[in-house]
Formats: sequence, C-alpha cells, structure tokens
Amino acid sequence: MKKIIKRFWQIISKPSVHLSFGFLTIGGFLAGIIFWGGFNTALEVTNTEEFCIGCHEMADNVYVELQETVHWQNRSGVRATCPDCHVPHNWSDKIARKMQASKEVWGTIFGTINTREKFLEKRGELAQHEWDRFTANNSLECKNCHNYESMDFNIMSERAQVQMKMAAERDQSCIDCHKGIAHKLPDNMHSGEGTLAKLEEMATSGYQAGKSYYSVRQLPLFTDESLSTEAGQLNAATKVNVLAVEGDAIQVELDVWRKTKGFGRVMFEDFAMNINDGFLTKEVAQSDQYMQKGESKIDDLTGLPWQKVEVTLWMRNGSLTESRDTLWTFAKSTYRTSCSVCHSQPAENHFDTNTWPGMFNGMLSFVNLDGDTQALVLKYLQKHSSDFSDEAH
Amino acid sequence: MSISRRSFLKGLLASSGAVLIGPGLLQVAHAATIEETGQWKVSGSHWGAFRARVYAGKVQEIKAFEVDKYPTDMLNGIKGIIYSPSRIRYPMVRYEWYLNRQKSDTTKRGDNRFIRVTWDEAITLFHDELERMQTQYGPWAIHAGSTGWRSTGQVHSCGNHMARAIAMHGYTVNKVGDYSTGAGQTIMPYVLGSTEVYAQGTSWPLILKNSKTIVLWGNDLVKNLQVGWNCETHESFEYLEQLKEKIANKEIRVISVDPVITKTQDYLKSEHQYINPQTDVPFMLAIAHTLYKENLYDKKFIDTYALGFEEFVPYLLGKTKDKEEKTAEWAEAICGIKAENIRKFARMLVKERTQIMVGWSIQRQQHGEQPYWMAAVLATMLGQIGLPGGGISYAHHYSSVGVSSTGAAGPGGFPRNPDKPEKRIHKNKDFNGYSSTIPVARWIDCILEPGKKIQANGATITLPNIKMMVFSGCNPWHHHQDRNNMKKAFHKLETVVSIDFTWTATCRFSDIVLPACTQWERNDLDLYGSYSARGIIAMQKLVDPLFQSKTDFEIFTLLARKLGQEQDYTRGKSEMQWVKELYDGCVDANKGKFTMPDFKTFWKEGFVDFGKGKDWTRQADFREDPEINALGTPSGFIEIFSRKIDRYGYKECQGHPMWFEKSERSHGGPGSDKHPIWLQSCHPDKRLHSQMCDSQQFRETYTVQGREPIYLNPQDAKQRGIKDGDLVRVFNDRGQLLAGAVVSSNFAPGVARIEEGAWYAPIDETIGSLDTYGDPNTLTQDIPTSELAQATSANTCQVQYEKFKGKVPAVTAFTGPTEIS
Amino acid sequence: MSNTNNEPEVHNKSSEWKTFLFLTICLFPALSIALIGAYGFGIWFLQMFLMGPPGH
Repeated sequence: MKKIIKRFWQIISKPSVHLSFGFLTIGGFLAGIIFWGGFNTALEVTNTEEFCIGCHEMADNVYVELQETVHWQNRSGVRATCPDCHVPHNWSDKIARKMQASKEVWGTIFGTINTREKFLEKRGELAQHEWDRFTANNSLECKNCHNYESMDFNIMSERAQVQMKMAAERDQSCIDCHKGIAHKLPDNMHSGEGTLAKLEEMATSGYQAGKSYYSVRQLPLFTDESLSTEAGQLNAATKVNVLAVEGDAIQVELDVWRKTKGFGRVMFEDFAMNINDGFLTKEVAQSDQYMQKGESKIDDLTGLPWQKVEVTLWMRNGSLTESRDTLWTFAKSTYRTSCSVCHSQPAENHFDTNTWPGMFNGMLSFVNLDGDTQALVLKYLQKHSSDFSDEAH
Repeated sequence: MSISRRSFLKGLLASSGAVLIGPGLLQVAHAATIEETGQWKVSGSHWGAFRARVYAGKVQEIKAFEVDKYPTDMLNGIKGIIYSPSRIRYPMVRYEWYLNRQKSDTTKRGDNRFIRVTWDEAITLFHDELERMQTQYGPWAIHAGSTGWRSTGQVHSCGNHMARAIAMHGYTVNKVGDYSTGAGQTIMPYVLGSTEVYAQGTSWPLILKNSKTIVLWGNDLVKNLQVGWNCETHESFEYLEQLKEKIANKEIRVISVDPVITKTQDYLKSEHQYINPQTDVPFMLAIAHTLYKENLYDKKFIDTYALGFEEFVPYLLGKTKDKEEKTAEWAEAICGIKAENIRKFARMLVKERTQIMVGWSIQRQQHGEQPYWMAAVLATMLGQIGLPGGGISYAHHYSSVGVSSTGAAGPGGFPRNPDKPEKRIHKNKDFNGYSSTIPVARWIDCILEPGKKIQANGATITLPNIKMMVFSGCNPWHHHQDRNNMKKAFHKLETVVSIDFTWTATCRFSDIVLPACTQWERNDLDLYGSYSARGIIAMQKLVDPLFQSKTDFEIFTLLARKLGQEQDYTRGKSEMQWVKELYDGCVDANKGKFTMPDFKTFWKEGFVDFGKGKDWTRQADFREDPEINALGTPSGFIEIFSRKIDRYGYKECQGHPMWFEKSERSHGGPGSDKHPIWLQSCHPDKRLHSQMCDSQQFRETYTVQGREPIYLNPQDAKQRGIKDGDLVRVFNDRGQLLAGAVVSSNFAPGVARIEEGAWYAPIDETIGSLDTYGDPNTLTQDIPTSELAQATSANTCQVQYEKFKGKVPAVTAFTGPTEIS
Repeated sequence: MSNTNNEPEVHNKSSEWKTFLFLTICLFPALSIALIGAYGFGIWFLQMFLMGPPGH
C-alpha cells in the first residue's frame, strides 16, 4: 500500500517531460468539466421518480398510495414527484441524503421491508424520520411550492381559513397538521387525535393572572395546586378567570349558576339557561371551601331554584384560548357538515337555548362526533339560539 | 460508484415499475367475478342489501346479501323498479306551460300532457325560472325544502344535491319536521329531552332477558322493520324470532294495543288489546287514574326524576275546567275497553318489568302530541325508565333500532351546504316579512293563504307566498294529505319542477320534469344496518343510466355549470372520486376503532362488516345520575307538566297531556253518522311509502283487480254487499277513490285500512275526480295536529264505502306522461 | 522496495500519456466521488449525532 502511494506521489510530483503545460492544464480542465457534467447527470438520474420506484418496496407501497392523493392528480395538472418532497434541494444536504441511501441499498439486499407486512410494521419508524426532517426544516419542501404569502384565504372554506390564517401567522410547519397527505398514516395513528389536535391548536399559551380565557375542550378540574385531587370537569368553550399561574398549574375562578335541586354539581353559564359549563364532584359541590355563593332565584319556566356561585379551583396550564370566535367557527362548520348528512340542519336560531339539547340529542345517532366536539357544537348552538339572535326568522 | 450499483440493482425493475401500477379505480368496479352468465355485483337499498347478476347490460337476477339472514320479499320488486313502464325517459315539460310559461292555464296542471325537450333546454328553463323568481319576487317565492325519503347512497343523496345547487343560486323557503313523526319529534324534547322517534333504543337482548311484559302500542314491528333509512340488513328479526319463542314458552307476554290485529301479532302469536281508533289518550288516562287511586305508581321515581306530577293529578281527578274524572268508566265509553279490563291492564303493567314500545301511527293524527306525552307520563308512573327491559321507547319499529350499535362511523354524505356561501348569486335574504322556515306539512296552506299567521312550537309563523316548488326524489302527491285541496293550491303556483326517476303523481302535476336514474345505475356507498351501523356496503353500478336519465350528481352539476360554479359544486371530483372520498373519510373516522381495508379492496369485496355492538339501555345514564346526565328538557328532568308549553297558551296542546275530541272519529265520534268508517293509512307492507309501487310485477302480487287493496271488516263488508275481490268506491266530502276489497277479520267493525304510498291516479285533473288506483290521501284531511307541532293528521279520517258499480276506469298512474309532439 | 529505487524511471511519451489518461479519467474522478461521498457521509453522521436533521 505504502508502495503504491509512494509511486503515485512520484508520478504526480514529477514534471512532465513530453506533454506540454498547456495540454495538461487544458486536458485536465476539460476532463474536469466532463466529470462534473457526468456526475451531475448521474445525480439527476437518481433524483427521478423512475429511479425511486425502481425497487418494488417503493413502487408497491408508497408510490401506489401517492396515486390516490391530490399530489398525484388534481385539477391543475401539477404533480409532485418523490424527490420534490423527499430530497433536500440544498447541495450539501442533498449529498448527505444520497449517502444515506446506502441504508436503503442495504435494506434492499437484506429484504428489510420486502413484503407489505414488513413495510407496514416499519412504516411508523420510516414516517417518523421524514416527519422529523420536515419539522426541522419547517416543511421546506412543501413550501417550495406552497407559500403562505401566496395563499388566497378568501377562496378557502371557512374552516380552512381559520386554521390556515393561524398557521400563517406562526409560519407553522405544514407537516404539523398534514401528516398522511401523500401516503397513508401508520396504522396506530388515531384520527380521533385529529379532532383533539385541532381543538388543541386553537389554544394559546402564556396565560396571565387577572385575565379571562375559554377552554378549547373538556378539561379536568382539581382542588389543589399539585393537581392530585379531582374536583370535576370543565366543559368546552367555558369562561375561566385566571387568578394565579404556578408552573404547570393555574388557579381559575368560574362565575356560574347551578340548580339547587340535587347536589348542585352541574355548572351553567347563566341563570335559567341550560348551557353546561361543566360539573363538580359531589364533595366539591357540597363544600363551601371552593365556592362563594351569590344570589338565588327561581326559574319560572321550570320552577327550579338557581343559585349563583363563584367556584375557585385548579387546572392544568394549557388548552385555553382568549376568544371563543375560533371555537365557534370550528363548531359552526362541523355542525353544517356533520348534521346535514341526513336532512337540512335547522338554523341555529330556530330553537331557543333550552330546546337545543333535546333537539341535538335526537340528531346524534348518525353523526360521527367525539364527545369534545359534541359538547362544543351544542354550546355553539345554544349560544347562537333564538335567545341570542336578533335576526328575524 | 454507488449510482451505477444502485442502478444495476433497480434498473431492471424500473422499467417494469410502470406495469406494476394497478389499474384505474373505475376498472375495479368491473372486477367482480365473471361467470358464464354474467357478473355478480353488490348493491343495497332501503329494502335490503343484495347481489345482482348482470348479463347483456341487464339486471337478470337479485339475491339477498349473505349478511342478511331475514331478507324481505320486497327484494323481488327491485328489478321492476329499474325496468318499470313508469320510468321517466326524457326531460319533459308540461305542454301548456311550455307554450305560456308562468302565464299558463294552471287548472290544466295534472292533465299529463307533456312535450319532450333536450337536457340543455330543460336545465335552461329550470335555471331561468329560479332566476325569474329571485329577481321578480325574492327568496320567499321558492320552496325547495322538500322532505321525505330518497334512494339510498350517500354520494347521490338527492335532497343534498338539490339543496346545494339551489343554495348556490339563492336563498329559499326551508322547512322543519317531517311527515312521519312531526308531532312526536316536537313534543318529546319537552318531555323526555330528545326527539325519541329517531333515537337508539334499549338493545333487544336486554329486553328479551329482562322484560316480562311488552306493550306494543299501535306498533307493527314485523311490517315496519322490513325497510330501513340506510341499507337494511334485518338484524332485528333474529330477536323477533327469539321473542316468538319466549311467548310460546310463556316467558314474556306481548300485548298489542291496536284497533287491528297486526302482522306482528300474527307472527308472534301474541295477545291483543282492542281499542277504538284515536282513543289512546282516554285509555292511558284511565290507566293513570287507576294507578293513582290504587296507589300503585312509583312515587319515589317521580320525586327524583320528574317534575309537574302534582299539576297533572287534578286533571286526572276531574278538578280542572272539564270537571271530568278520568276513571276507567269514563274511558270505557270512549275507547271501547271495559272498565274492569282497563284496571286489570293497569295492575298488570306495574306487576313486573314492562317495556312499552310506541309506534308512530298514534301521533299521525289530530292532537298527536297527546298520546306520546301521556305514554311518557305512564312510563314515569311505572318508574322503570332507564332499567333494562323497562321504560318506554318510540322507535323500536324503525331502521334496526334496538339492534346494538357497533359505534362505527358511517360514510358521511355529499355536502348539502355550499362550500362558499359568499359566492351565492342572489344574496337577497329579505323574506318580505314572511317566515323563512315553515313546519313541513303546512306548505299547501302557504300557497292557499299566504301571509296568514300561525302558531308553531312557540313561534309565530307568517306563511310565505310560495310561487315555485322544486322537488327532488320527493313525492308530496303521495305523502301530503287531501289531493283535491292540493289541486286547488297547485292552480296558484307559477312553476313546479320535479326531478325523479319514475313518473309519480308529483311529476304529473309538475311543469318541468328531469329524469334521474335509479340508485342502481350509479356508483355509491352506504351504511348498512342503519342504527346498528353494522357495516359499509358498496353500491356498484349495475347498469348504465337508462334512456336519457342522469345521476342526481350530474343533473345538479349541470345546474351549477349554468351558475358558473361547476367547480365549486363538484370540488373537481368525479362520482367515483366522491365515493372514494366518503369511504376514506369513514376509514379516518374509524381509526383506532375498526380497521378497514383500502378503497380498492373494499370496492372489490363489496362490503366491510363491523360485527356486533355492545348492549345498551336507553336512559340508564339518566337513571344512574340525573344531575350530570340530565335530560335535554328545560328542567333536565322528565316534564309531566311543561311550564314552557303552558306559557304558549295553545288551545290544543296545553301544560300537560289531555284528551281532546277529534274533528272526525269513528265508533260514535264526530262525523261517524255520515262517514262511519275510520280509514287507517299506515306504512305499507309491500313498499317503502310510495317507492316500489311502480314495480309492476311485484305490485300485481298484492293488488285486487289492479287496484290498491282496502282491508275491510267482514260484517261491514257484508252489510254493503261486498265480497273479497270486489271493486270498492271509498269516499267522503273530500274525495273518492277505487280500491280492491280484501275482507279480513283482523280488522274490527268500523275500521278499514288502505296503506299509504299507493300512487295517486286521478281520471283527470279536475277537482273531485275519481282516483282509479287507491291513494288514501285522496280522502285524508289536511289539518295540523295542534298549534305546537303543526304536523300531519292523516289518521284522523272518516270515510264511507260502497260496492263500485258502473264502467270500470283504467288505472292511470303507471304509464308515464302523454307525449305531445 | 529496493527494486523501484534502483530501476531507472522509464520516461517515454507513451507511458506519460497513459499516466495522464489514467489520472484524469480514472483516478481523480474516483477520488472526487470518494471525497464527495465522504463529505456526504460526514454530513449525515453529523446530522445523526450532532446537528439533527437538516434545517435551514
């Protein structure tokens, strides 16, 4: 080995005898150009879809899945090929990615994912690599084509508008919400999480004592700062006044009404309105320690006594938002889509606040809504019922 | 040289990669196994899921789907729907209207003289009329809020298509409620906090295990469970079979409270409690009176779970305005049940676990709110609400209610609302002082008496001045009451548009008729098992649309194109892409609960089955914790007395259930001297409402001399000299019809039945003309149940009948329009 | 080893041509590719252990 290097050194360190200086430099230069051209051509060949789907692992799994999506076929006739999304466009990263492909060659030789079953089992891990990469580069490859600045929010559906505007403000990474847009999601990923995630996305952070917020979904309440003893549950879209923020916990005050028949566990937003704000455990509802009692009145329409209370409890620091508007937009669009599958959905102000629960309960049989969304939609309907609407109907 | 190595590894495969890519989605549709005699395909319907053999472009044979263990014989009628002589072949326009448009002689509407036009012209006419209405009048002049059933299939749901396309153009009058359960769905939220009529009920296995007595109150399970809102697969029948066994072994008593011996009673071999028609409330009140007087009711349950009992008791005891104590003797005179038997019945109810199952017929009559409310009060007094096999239900006869739900999500539907409401062409929302939403059954009143103010469910409604009606897959000339009154109203309409696949009476009375194809001439998907959410079924197109018919999707895409919004209407997706989109949405919604195959596999297999769900008891959560799981009533408790309804100040629906005499009633009631026979128009046994009446061969299995059967009591028939198989003229002051006599002792004296959905077949368009086939709504009255629900009162109807003499007219219903060229 | 030292170097025109061609066509391209490859691997390993996935 040493011999070869030495020989090599001898050869290249000696001046040439027969070949001219011009020939050597021009020859070397030309050879360099040819090499670089060849290299790039080869690199480009590896950057074509044909090349990517050369192995059956790609052709039979992800490629077929892509064909069922909008990234394959759409009304504008633009389509994304494998490298558009999966190969970094920046040179260094691209070369690194190409070297990473050695792993894929390895996989092919040893058949790591040579059957559908093996692939499905490994999909979670493989997808996670890509999601990590998209998260790190803020979905750069998506943004090569899709640009927040170029989006016309006005022609989006209302629901999309709200989501996309929020995302644009934060220059959010596309992959945060759009996982599974071009290939299938790993089997163990719930879409139930989808709704929850959508609700959670509406939450803001950095709550300040002395300000009021609204819950984005149903949330547990606790009696203590350490969040160990459960005190009940806060309903979706419920107003809380933050009294103190202590790390993971926040102390909140709820201005609510309750019926004093029974244990008085259920909290309502306003007098004689069955707009559910959540419920308390029997112990908390019966104890004076957590609440300050206000005026009592009898609701003439039911004959039941109601009492105003201020409840002070603890909850986890999170899942609150400053305004109900985004929650209402989400609820409205959910109501209009989900509740019109069987028949035309009644206008929000067709019923009054206390009629809506009965009507809504009767509609739920064929509607695919989880508990959080149901609670949110019902509250939306009640808050936009004939009691709150001036519009003649 | 990693490039060349890799290329070498993959190069060979690269070229073959393109070959490996599967065939297009559409081709998969044809991938069903091919046999010598054609292809077997999967589809579904309200009557059941089935496999169909298609050969030479024709449906040859239908056989029930394997999952369905109790298929209905109505599957035999499917082929006849596709190849019916009633099929609409071309876009048609009423001749007189074609010449004179809105100035046409509307008294000629219904003469059935039509002219054939091209699709292009038909859509232009349709669009121009919508445009004229919006510009000349306003949104109040168009009513496109049709109601009723439809063909199955979630992509092509006809109401959704019509609503979406028309909403893209402008606002129109909308409706609430429906013809089946109008009174029930309005009263029950006040009483039990849910519409009840469309709610899942306690699972059958729990009922079979726990109930000792089941009361079927005006409820024919075996007849009505044959059809479902979605694709029906008849799981309930397994339980009915077990129930039959338990009755034979004397483990369960089933008592049918009904004026007639029902199909269910015949099947179960169960007991009968005869009751005079429309007198359920007096019977119930007397039961309550007995329970109260004999101290048999559950006071503790009432205290914990109900409000307003003390306000109701004085009425029971005759201490209110009417001064009438609701004793068994009082009731006997009205309901025809011996006082002693009423008391025995009351005692039996409290003895053991009792499940009350109420049907819908008793709320499709005048004051239909009252029996529903009173039944809930009875159930509250029994104190078994929320117990397995106890309490009350209002839906066990409907769409597999009582078969436990799997909890799987269904496939959603084609969007009814426009995606971009801001692009609506006519943004005018000014209803000119009229109400924008009306109670569904009052639309004829709107046309006849625009501007009239009526009370409805706590609101004052000003009836809009409707000038144009649009119907899609909707046949109000079957489901609305009083045909001759409808004729009067239709004289006042300027334009009527109807979209259907078959020439119903509604088409006959329309101006523009567009031919849709049947649900078996398009690709779609549906939930099967209805309330049990048993699975998803593919509806593979069996044959191409016949004649010039088009799918609902295509028809309304054409209208949207006229509006310049085709892209927004379809979202750039084809029929098959929509089917796939709904399927994929369903897969998503079921993630983590049910694994579903990918679309291609599903389409090839034809179905996904979710198995069986968990047993469930209605209102058990409320019984367990009435505070947290409060009912949806104003108070959260069962409301025996509703202060809210009381405040409305209505005359015919007051603060608590009451007995009101009907405008017409048999057995000595008002009007029974002149028209002594009560005409029951219940849901048909051999159709789904008016669907399948056009299936000729199948219809001929039950018609009498080609007419709809009228079921008659033997004594009544004998008195009038009528024998089984005779033609009968049935009449009252509202109309007259021909029907074929079926004499049966299942029907009590003074009771007759013509099943609704029989096609209206007038001799001509004139008011009062004879209906040659036997649509019972020729005779029914168009009055509201009360100021609360403003719902239909079809079962409050007295008639007289006689043997038909004279020249027998031909049936005019099933041969389509008379084409003028 | 002594062999190479003592043997007189052959410096004829054809061998110089061969050397030139060998260097420009085979060796340097191979080396370049190896170098780029090494660079790529380097970045990859850095990403794996130090930098995390490529950001921007």
